[in-house]
Amino acid sequence: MARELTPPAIAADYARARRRGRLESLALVAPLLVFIIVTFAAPIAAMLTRSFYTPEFADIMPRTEEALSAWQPGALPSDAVVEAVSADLIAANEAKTIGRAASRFNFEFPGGRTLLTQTARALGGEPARTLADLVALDPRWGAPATWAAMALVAKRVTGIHYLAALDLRLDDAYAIVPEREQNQIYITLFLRTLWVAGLVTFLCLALGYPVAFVLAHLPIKMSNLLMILVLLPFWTSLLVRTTSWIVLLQSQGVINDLLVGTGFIANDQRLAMIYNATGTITAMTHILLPFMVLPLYSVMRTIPSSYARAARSMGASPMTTFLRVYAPLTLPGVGAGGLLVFILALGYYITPALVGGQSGQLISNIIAFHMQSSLNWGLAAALGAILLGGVLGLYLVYARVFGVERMRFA
Amino acid sequence: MPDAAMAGERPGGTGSAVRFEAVSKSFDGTSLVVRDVTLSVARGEFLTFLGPSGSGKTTSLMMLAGFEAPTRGEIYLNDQPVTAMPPHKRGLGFVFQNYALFPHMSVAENLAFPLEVRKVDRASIKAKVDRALAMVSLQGFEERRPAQLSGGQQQRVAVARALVFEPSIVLMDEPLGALDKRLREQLQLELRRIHRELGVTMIYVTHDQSEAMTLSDRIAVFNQGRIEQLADPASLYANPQTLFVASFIGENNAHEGRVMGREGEHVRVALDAGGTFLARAAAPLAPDTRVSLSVRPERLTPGEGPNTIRGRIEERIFLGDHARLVVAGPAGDRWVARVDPRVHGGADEGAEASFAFSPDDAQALAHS
Repeated sequence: MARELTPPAIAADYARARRRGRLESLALVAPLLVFIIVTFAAPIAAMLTRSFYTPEFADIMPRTEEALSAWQPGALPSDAVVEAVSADLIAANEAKTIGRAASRFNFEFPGGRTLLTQTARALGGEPARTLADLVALDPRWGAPATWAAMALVAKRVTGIHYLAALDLRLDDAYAIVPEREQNQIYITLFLRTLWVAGLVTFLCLALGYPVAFVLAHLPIKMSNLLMILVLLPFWTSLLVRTTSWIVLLQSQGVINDLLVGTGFIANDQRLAMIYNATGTITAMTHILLPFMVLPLYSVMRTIPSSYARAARSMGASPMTTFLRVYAPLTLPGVGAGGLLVFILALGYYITPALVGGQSGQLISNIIAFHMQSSLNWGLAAALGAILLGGVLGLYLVYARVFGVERMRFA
Repeated sequence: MPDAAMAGERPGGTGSAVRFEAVSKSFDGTSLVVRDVTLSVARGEFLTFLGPSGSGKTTSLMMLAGFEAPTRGEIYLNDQPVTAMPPHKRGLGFVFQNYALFPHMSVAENLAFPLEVRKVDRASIKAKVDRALAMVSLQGFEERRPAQLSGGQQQRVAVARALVFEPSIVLMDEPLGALDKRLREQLQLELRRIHRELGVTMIYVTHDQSEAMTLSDRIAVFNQGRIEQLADPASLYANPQTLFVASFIGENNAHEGRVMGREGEHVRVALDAGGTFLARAAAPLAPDTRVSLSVRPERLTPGEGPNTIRGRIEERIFLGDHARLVVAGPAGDRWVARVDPRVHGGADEGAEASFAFSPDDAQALAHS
């Protein structure tokens, strides 16, 4: 049976074949896609949502939310507002949810926890009628700042976590002002994280480039053998590696003992190489080195020796040959390795937590602190969102500069 | 070292451009890749290193360029020993098998590279790059990347890049190996023209004997690290000195036998398959020496003579400009003859026929 070969018939056949091809590839990817969405994308999205959506307080105290929805800072509440708040407090006390609302309030208003719980208990079953009734229970109810803070906490959608993450806050008049100096830690941490990640990336490049060069120019058998040394860190547990750095670097550790034993330093001058930024940088460089060496190696392997030879034959010295011919050809590997190491270093958590001490803590450690200890998930989420946004922004700049399509990851 | 002028007159002087003296190379300390090679290349000459892969021809070229050091012996450039001289000081043009065009640079940048490292000023660079591109007919391709060029164009750029800084000696390592036959033949002619125009000394490596024939003033035939014979194409073809040369260059009838004795200018050879033939001897041969009798197929002509083969035509293939006949002798020995298809059109498969060749066209080559 002869099918017509008219242009519309060909186009239809072609479209059908294309559709089938797309469906097939979708079916192949589907399991992983579902897995990632369920276990990775959805939790992250939920977490990031918390950075601007905080319904806990409003859920527990709905009348307060409504009464304070159009709050003017500096004002004191009308009797209707006082009645709504005290009714909510009584209801929450009975439902035993007052603790959660009080904790939330406490983040924005130091001492707010006891203010709410004690007031709720003191009210008994009888809502306050006037502001004076509340002030009689606790004088802080008479301050406009208390009410301004509560109006902020009662909002479901809020930007205060982002302000806090950038060392800013709203003052009593809802103007954006810098955080009190003793509380300014996040900008410093962000900058330190950037600096450490940049330094670790640079160190990995400086240490990894010559290694990759040597490996790429050895016979393949030999280089595969030596590659084991580079990959060894991958095959041992992160904890074991980090702990072995502790063994090496601590003040009673191998290196200090050696230096003291050989008389290079006195016993009371033992070097502080761990539990500070030095320890973090040392251990992170070691752990992240393979991520730099592997892309570099794979790029260098594909550069034929004839390029360098051609340059030499044309009169270029070894140095010129390296700078003008070899190094530019390895840029895709430098770009990929640098990107991998830098982004991994930005979010590094366990190593700084173990060997960082005070000065070696990074932004991920404070995020973990807010997740696990202070339970200020909104702030943790805002810090995480800023980190994520920063990484994406850097990636875009990087892709512009290096050209992501030219990068070779392995 | 003075560079030859691009405009063309051959550099004067009597000394050789390149000289190998007893050069040997071993990569592993046990086996020799190049054995005791001695040769001399005149200024302006086109010399080809011809041989199968692994014969040491490329290694010899790499030693000349300075990418490998001789294990023993010395190489001279313009009568200066260069073993201790790094490649970038030798001032040689080099065209690589895979072209080795820098992929991150445009055509113009590739060509400017050897000039920039020589600190040539900007205006002269532009003029020289333009001239080199014109020489290989690639004007207008300055801003292209190598990846945007066809194989033949890349090859032309590689040649232009090796010539743009006006070296007096240019080395080429199988530069046409990756191209298809038509393009290869076309570029062979271009290389010939460029060599004539510039008068540079060219040393060319190939395993393709017809390429070597087309291009070369002289050919050095490499085998197992040695130069088997170094001669101009015509005498290499007509007077191969060794069995290897005879079989490597052109088609060849080779039959084993032994020397019976001298007969005037010639020796008489008794073939193992039967029959005796007169042949020239490249070197004096004692009676009973094992030899191969070597005759080119086109030297067999129908008829009888001092050397006659009688047999049956086993195969006849028409190839346009000639016909290729396979003649089976009585003892099963096979001879290939190449004849004019119009004149000998009647020689059919299965017919009995006799062919003759002159003693001067046959060589008795001793087995080494």
